Amino acid sequence: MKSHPQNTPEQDFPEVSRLIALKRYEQPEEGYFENFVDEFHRRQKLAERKKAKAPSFLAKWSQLFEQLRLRYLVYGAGAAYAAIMLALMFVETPQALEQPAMDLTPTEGVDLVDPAPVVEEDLSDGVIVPLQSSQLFDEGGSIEF
Amino acid sequence: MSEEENISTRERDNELVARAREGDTEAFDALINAYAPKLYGLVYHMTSNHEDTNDLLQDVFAKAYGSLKRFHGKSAFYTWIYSIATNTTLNFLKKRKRRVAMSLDDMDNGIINDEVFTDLSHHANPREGNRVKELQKKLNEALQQLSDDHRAVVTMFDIQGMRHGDIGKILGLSEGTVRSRLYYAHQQLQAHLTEFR
Repeated sequence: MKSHPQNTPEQDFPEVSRLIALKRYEQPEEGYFENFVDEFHRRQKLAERKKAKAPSFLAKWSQLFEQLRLRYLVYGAGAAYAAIMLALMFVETPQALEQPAMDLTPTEGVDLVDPAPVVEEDLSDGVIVPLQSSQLFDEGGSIEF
Repeated sequence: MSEEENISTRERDNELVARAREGDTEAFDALINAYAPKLYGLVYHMTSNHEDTNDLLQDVFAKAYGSLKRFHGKSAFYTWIYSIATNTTLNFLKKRKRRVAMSLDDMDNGIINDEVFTDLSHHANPREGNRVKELQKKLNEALQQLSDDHRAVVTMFDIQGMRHGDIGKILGLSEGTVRSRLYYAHQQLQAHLTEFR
């Protein structure tokens, strides 16, 4: 369709204009506009209350400043405590720190777990008598084989 | 609306605005009652969603109420509040970007008695209920195909029956630009609505 934009839409596209105009029948539910003003006042009051509760720009900055100062105080106190504790460890127990560390690695062939009692067979009467662990050692403390 | 009606409406609005600025809430309520139905149509046909329309309309009146002191009466209150509504809706649509939720049950029964619809039903399909829904769906789809700016112009002109000059003032465009946007939009719509013509 050849036309000029200066024409009215009714001249160029009369059917389209009439169809689109049908959308004017789309309305909100009944009673919507009666409640609209009440809803407006309710929202206004809510917004005012929020505004009153919200701190001002200056108050927000001072609050932030206070929080930062408090945080630095906490960090400072924590660091000071840690430094004091470290210093006390070095001053009070210098000998303990100089002692060699105990060798906890197991000796080869020695079971560190408490050994089960060795059973000695009494061949004379066929009664099996368990030996006490003290019987395994001589007076020198060496293991008797 | 005739010129005389325009003048009396403008005088009434200016008086209500002056009273509202002095803190008379009933005066602002009267402005809400006068403009909420018209603005509802504008916002709804741009968003195709009743819930969004309700929130946006509340925002529009809240903004207007908060800015009353900046309204000096150089333009009509009608133009001023329509500009707020259009800008608020266009900004919302930019953020929303095609989250289209079209309702299919809310077309008023008035459409059944519209002579355009009666003609269409008579020629095409005797089942009116289905035809209404089908037509509404097609109309909504066609409108959603347009850009937000073009939809705004079509809504104001074709659905709300506003003049080119008034649309231009609201959107800050020349009358020529409004006309060419309408022409382009109608071309697009025609392509989508061929079966109903």
